Formats: sequence, structure tokens, C-alpha cells
Amino acid sequence: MKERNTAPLLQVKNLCKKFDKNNVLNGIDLDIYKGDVIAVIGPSGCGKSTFLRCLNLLEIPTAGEIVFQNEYLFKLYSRYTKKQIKNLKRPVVAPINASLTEEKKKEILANLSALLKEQKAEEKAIKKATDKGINQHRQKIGMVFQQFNLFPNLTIMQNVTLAPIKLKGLSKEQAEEKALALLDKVGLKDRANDYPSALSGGMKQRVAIVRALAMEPDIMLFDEPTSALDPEMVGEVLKVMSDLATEGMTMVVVTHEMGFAREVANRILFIDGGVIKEENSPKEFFENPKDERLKEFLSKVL
Amino acid sequence: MSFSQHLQYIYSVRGLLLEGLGVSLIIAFAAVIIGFVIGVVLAMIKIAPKNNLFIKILDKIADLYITVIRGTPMLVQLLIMYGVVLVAFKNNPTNLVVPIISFGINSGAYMAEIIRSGINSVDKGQMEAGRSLGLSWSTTMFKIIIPQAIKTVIPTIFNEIIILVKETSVVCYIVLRIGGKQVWDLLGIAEKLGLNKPAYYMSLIFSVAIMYLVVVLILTLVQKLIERRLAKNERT
Ligand SMILES: Nc1ncnc2c1ncn2[C@@H]1O[C@H](COP(=O)(O)OP(=O)(O)OP(=O)(O)O)[C@@H](O)[C@H]1O
Ligand SMILES: [Mg+2]
Repeated sequence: MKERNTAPLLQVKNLCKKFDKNNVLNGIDLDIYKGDVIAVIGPSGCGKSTFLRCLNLLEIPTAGEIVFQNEYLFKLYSRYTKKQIKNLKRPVVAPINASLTEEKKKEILANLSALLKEQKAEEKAIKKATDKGINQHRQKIGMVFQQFNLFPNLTIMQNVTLAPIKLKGLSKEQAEEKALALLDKVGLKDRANDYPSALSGGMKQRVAIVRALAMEPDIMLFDEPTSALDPEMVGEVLKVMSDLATEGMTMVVVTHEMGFAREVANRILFIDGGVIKEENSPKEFFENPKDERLKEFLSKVL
Repeated sequence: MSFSQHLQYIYSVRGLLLEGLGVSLIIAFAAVIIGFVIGVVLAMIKIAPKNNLFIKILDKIADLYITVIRGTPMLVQLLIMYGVVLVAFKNNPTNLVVPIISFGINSGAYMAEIIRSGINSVDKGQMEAGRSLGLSWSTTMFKIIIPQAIKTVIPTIFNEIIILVKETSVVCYIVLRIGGKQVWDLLGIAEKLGLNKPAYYMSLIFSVAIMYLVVVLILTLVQKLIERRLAKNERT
């Protein structure tokens, strides 16, 4: 791995996610740097989508930390229960400790209250960052879904301009000008006034990418963007994505397209059993896999 | 008595019958509007993320409301409203507020369920797409989800409106006044006329049936027009 001299854009520490009793993610650690194109692969049901959806809190993690641009997106904070506090106070109030000097007692209590204060402050800071900040953070984290999720009640133009007008304070004209430029880049300028239902799957996905890009995100998350497409449309979407990568966009792409992973990504992750089993450069990853499960997986898909 | 005599009689009281229909329709349409507003609010409460105590309490109240309203007959609700809850309005010179609020509250419970199921029928990827752009829950709800939900709920909403229009006929159990003058709804006036002319009673009742039928047919036509209008932007 290359040495990095900047702070990561997005930092994931010991990320865990449980659905009821189903442990889906069991401690994922990952630093994502500006310009990274990370391909995430793994067997079906291993938690790839869940991992991606945790990164913009569409799923709320059950443990761990996510730091985005040096601010907490998520952090599980613990707070002493009443019982724990009572236990901590015990040495001061218990009669057996009558020998304890008044000074010592005071010190213990002072320490305890400082600790509680600190905890409260941390809790408050995290709550503020996560509750209030999440809509703001999401503006900077674009997401593209397998099923496109375009808004069928809006035209392509309205799909693309809704968020920039609402959230970035752009005028309708400014937003439309920008949208047209982006749509032009993906070859769909002339479809701006159509409704999504008039478009093919490949076109819809290109619009979905443009819709996310219109918010000028710092990172883009893709969850199997080509899996719902007819084979002849996969290429046009991958082309848009590799152009984006070339322009320096930071991307995390869950994909089954091994060709894309090999050609476009600079890092590849293999997730299995809710953890990152292997991470490597594409060349090493495909030519020299180390994890047994990965070898098995690659032998099936290549 | 001949058929033409019956026709002549009905023709002679047509003004009174139409006035009665007018009263019935005023009550019904005002109640529909109140019901719709209550329905949207209740549906929002039921669907909103339950992340604070306030919304949890509202949720329980909404549950109670829907249970009570759906669990008791409309006529009984009307009599309770007239005799107890809205008794202050009962003696107003214009006391149509009593049935309007009663029917509105009743309809609200049903509308809430209709609207909620309509919203739930919208693909949950839509909310996720909106939120992932940074839009708030309520912006996504009002700009994206509800416009799509409306399309799916139009038939059931109209069904509810039609039921409500017909159900307002139970209002003949209470005394209605407009500007101090007693008025009757459609069925009420027919009953009153029938008391004086028992021979024409069944003709009056048939006339009432036909007038309701015409109103319902017009509503059905409106529904079709709205559906056709909305179908223009086909959904995926
Ligand atoms: N909302 C949910 N509620 C309960 N269980 C869930 C939920 N979402 C995902 N799961 C479970 O979590 C596990 C991982 O799902 P996930 O969709 O993340 O897998 P995946 O790696 O993306 O699979 P695929 O390749 O099929 O897309 C599965 O066992 C799934 O049943
Ligand atoms: Mg998936």
C-alpha cells in the first residue's frame, strides 16, 4: 500500500451491524482517501450493501465509528447507567472505607464527576454531529442504487435539479444549466424533459449518476450499479463510471464486474463473513490472492 | 293513483328535494375536506420515524382515535357529538358544524388508513434516494412520496367519499338549522313530506335513491377524469 500523507476522507473503524440476531458486519476497518476507487466484492449476502448503506447512514450501525472529513458521522457512545455510577461511588460511601480520608473521598468524587461531564460532552457532540449533520453530510456523499430509484413523478431535469435547488440554494436556471452540462456528459441532454419511464435501464442509471453528481459530492457510493441492467447496457454505465474515476472522483463500488474492478479500481476489498478478508491492489488481488475463501470465490467468478 | 300523478307530485316538490340534496352535499363535501386533512395528519404521524417521545405519544393517540372511530357506528358517533361533545354548537342559528365535524372526524380515521397504505405502497427506495441526496424526511415525503401515493389512493379515496356522501343521510336524526331556520337533508325532507302524504311516501324514497345515484355517478366520472389525468406521467 502506498504511503499517504493526507488524512483519510472517510474513516471506518470497527463497523458492526446486526439485524436482530443476524450479525451482518463484524468489525470493518477502512480508510478511504481522496481519489480512491475502491471495488468491493464478495459472495451474495455477505453484507456488501449493508456496508455501503452504513456509510451514509441509510442503515444505522450497531457499533463502531464512521468519520467523514474529520467529523463524526456515527459513533456509538456509552453512558454509565445509574447502577454503574452507584458502583463507582461505593468506595466513598461504604462504611468499610471509613479509613478513607476526606480528601481522598473528595478526589474520587471529583474524578467521577469530571468523567461523567466528559462523557456527556462527548455524547452531546456526537449527537449534534450525527442528528443534525446527517442531511448535510449526505449532500457530500452521493449514492447510486442497483434499482436506479429515479423519481417517476418528476422529469429527468427535475430529478437532477430537485436537490441542488432545495439544498444548495441554486436558482432554477443555474441548476438547470448545470444539470444540462452533466446530462450532456453522459449523452442524455436531449432527454431532459422526459419522464424516467421513457428511458431504458442504462439511461436511467446514467441519470441516477448525474442526479448524485449534481450535488457535487466528495465521494460516490455505488451499489451494484449494473446488476439490474440488460447486458448490452452495462458498458455505457461502466464507461460513465470509469470517466468519473479518471476525473479523480473518490468512489466505493460494490460490483460483480471483475473487469471493471481490475481496470478502474486502485484498491479491491473482499468481504466475507462481515469482515474484510482481503484488501489489495487489483493486480495482486487477482493474480495472487491469499485468503482461501477469496481463491474459491475467484475461481467461481473468473 | 296513477304513475303520472306520482310524477306530478314529485315534480311539485322538486324544489324542496333539491334543497335537501344541497344540504346533504354541503355536509358531505365539507366533511370530506376535514376528513382528508385529518387523514393526512394521522397518516404522517403513523409513518414518521418514531425517534422521540412526542411522536410516540401522538402515535398512540392516533391509534386510539382510529380504533374508536372504526369501532363504533356513524349514527351513534353523530348522536354523541350532537348530544354531548358539540352540544355548544347544537343551538347555534346555523348548526351544520355539528354534522360536518362529526362526519369529518369519522372520515378522517378511514382516510388515514387509506393514505397510510398508499404511502407504504411507494417503493422504499424512493425515500432512500431522496435521503441519500441530503433531502430531509419531510421534503422527500411531500415532493416525492406523496405525489406517487396519491395516484394509487385515488380509487380508494373516491370510494370513501362516495360512502361518506351516502352516509350523511343519517343526519336526518338530528335537527338542522341554517340562519335560525330549520332545514332538512335529502332523506329528511322526503320523510317529512311523506308524513303528510303517506300515499306518495315510496315515490319520495325512490326519488331520493335516484338523486343519490346521480351524485355518485358524477363522482365516479370525476374520479375517472382525475385518474386519466394522472396516468399521463406513467410510473416505472
Ligand atoms: N433491512 C434488513 N433487515 C434484516 N436483515 C437484513 C436487512 N438488510 C439486509 N439484511 C440481511 O443482511 C445480510 C446481508 O445483506 P446485504 O444486502 O448487505 O448483502 P449483499 O452482500 O449486498 O448481497 P447481494 O450480493 O445479494 O446484494 C443478509 O443476510 C440479509 O438478509
Ligand atoms: Mg447487495
